[in-house]
Amino acid sequence: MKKSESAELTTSRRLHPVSVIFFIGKSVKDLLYPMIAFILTTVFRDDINWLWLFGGIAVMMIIMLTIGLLTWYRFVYYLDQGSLRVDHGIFIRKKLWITKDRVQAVDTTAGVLHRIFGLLKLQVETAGGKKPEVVLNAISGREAEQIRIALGLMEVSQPEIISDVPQATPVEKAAPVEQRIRLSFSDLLIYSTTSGKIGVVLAVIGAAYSQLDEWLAETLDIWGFISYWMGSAQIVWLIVFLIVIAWLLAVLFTSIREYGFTLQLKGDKLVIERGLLERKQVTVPLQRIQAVHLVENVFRRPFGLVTVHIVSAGYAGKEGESAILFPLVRERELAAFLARFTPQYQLADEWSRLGKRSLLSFMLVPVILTLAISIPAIIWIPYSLGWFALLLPLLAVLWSWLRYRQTGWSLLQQQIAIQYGSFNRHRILVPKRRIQWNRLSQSVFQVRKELATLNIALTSGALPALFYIKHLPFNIGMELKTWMIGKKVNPPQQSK
Amino acid sequence: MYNEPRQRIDSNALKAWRMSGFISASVYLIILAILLFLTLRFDWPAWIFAIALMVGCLTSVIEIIVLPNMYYREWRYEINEDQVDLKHGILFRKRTTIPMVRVQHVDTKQGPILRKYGLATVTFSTAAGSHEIPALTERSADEVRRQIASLARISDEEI
Repeated sequence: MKKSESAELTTSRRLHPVSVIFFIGKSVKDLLYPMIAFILTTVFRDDINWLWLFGGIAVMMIIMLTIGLLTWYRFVYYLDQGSLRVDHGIFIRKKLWITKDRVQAVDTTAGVLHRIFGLLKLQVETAGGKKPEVVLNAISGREAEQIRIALGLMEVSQPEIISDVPQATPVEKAAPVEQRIRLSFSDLLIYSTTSGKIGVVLAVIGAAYSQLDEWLAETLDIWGFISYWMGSAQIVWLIVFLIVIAWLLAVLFTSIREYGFTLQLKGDKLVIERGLLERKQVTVPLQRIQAVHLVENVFRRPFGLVTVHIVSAGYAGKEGESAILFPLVRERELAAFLARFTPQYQLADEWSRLGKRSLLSFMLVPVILTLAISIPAIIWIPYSLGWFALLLPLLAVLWSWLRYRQTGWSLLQQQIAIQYGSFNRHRILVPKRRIQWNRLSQSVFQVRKELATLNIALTSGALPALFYIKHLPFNIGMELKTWMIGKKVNPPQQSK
Repeated sequence: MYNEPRQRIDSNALKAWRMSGFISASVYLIILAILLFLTLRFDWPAWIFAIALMVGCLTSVIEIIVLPNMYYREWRYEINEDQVDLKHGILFRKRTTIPMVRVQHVDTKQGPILRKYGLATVTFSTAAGSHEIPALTERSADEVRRQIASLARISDEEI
């Protein structure tokens, strides 16, 4: 049984029939705008031609169904000597080869529909090209496992598979390292309540409201209605109530997404699992990690709670979403956490800080900008309310002062650590050999004060990840530059 | 101290950049001519044309004279076995260093204007974006390319 299954994987096979639904969903998305346009132009006529309307919709449905079915029919994949091959495309046949050496990460997701049928969606990420490189919409857990093994992202566990998968020859290894950590429920709650995602929820509500506002203005005077019912003072309470609701929603969504967050170290790979409704699993080889990024947002910082992110070439996903290695680690446990899961990365104990000379450079631009806004406000806003605008430059001063205080760097043998941030605190740990290029730049102001901004670039998805040390003394910048190149610690004195 | 990169780009680059400055200036001229025609024909207010004329002249002067001179004066590069070192920038003085082991590939490219003057641009790609040295002579561009090709030795482990 097992033999036949894996033998089949080396010959071409189709996805699970359920994936037709996903393909249809995709073609619906593609045809959505033509469809809406068609319905609107038909409905907003004096006499609606029902036959034309339903006929048109039916034709489009049939087209989408056929496209979905054909896509599924033409989509085949198989394993071929350590590489994954995918042939797909209805009219234009595309053949894709991904070799083991170029895979950055393999992740699987199980949505609600997947879980009903016991299936998984598998995505393969490489360093270049579009992301993700390959999506297998619906395959069985066993197939996913075999692909993982073939692409070198999973150790062969059961002895009977070894004979089936020749490319995963087990080389003699020291006892495989196994580490495992799971986010406890109380930590999940702490993480969700401090996530700051409320801003996102409020933005969505605000956008929805602005869309509805015009329509509401025509139908009923909602604010008048409320103030009539509850008195205008109550509107404040209503707003507070709405904010609380938004916050609760944010907590709920974050909890569902990060529920049961588990991080495992298996051999030289990290396996991340998370999600309540949609279970997601990502495998990242340790070797592919470019940097470790420690983030403390303004709510978590007072409690010493750190979110550990990673910068990795393939595993970038949507901005700020999927690069979390572990959501919540206490500062005092951080060193031990890194030693357990990312042994190459070390926390810096001592930070080099900036001198007073840099402080003005941090303040210059924000203060000038905010003054430029608040001066006209003072002049033109009536009843001397405009003086409140002076809060803006004050905030700018506070903000730049925090940024100045936060900026720091620290060198270890083979690693540079950079700290930055304002209200939030960011620390990034970068091995020297991961730096793709570095740049020291000086603006006209910085030239005069002999300051400079150091900039290092790491590989991360389609765009490079850039990190800065702002306004550091020029000569220190040059020293760091020489350190990054590595060879000569003390370059020969130049006579000129 | 740090070794400043000392190689300059080819002086023919000045001519090439001026040439492309003249080409865009002639495009502005055509636009201005059309604008003048419309102003006279349809009695548009004169200030539109006046402002356009001023902007056009200013941009042309900057593109033909100021920028090429500044670029030529500021650009320096140096290539050795460890690194590619670039020094450039007008408003921001940038010193960019690309370790040789991080260079993934090198390209030379040549537009029609550069070709006329026997120049080429060299591009270095890393796993985090690419950098270029504009306007080297074809020979030194080829040399640079060969030099880097022999020096660059990226290992698969790193990405």
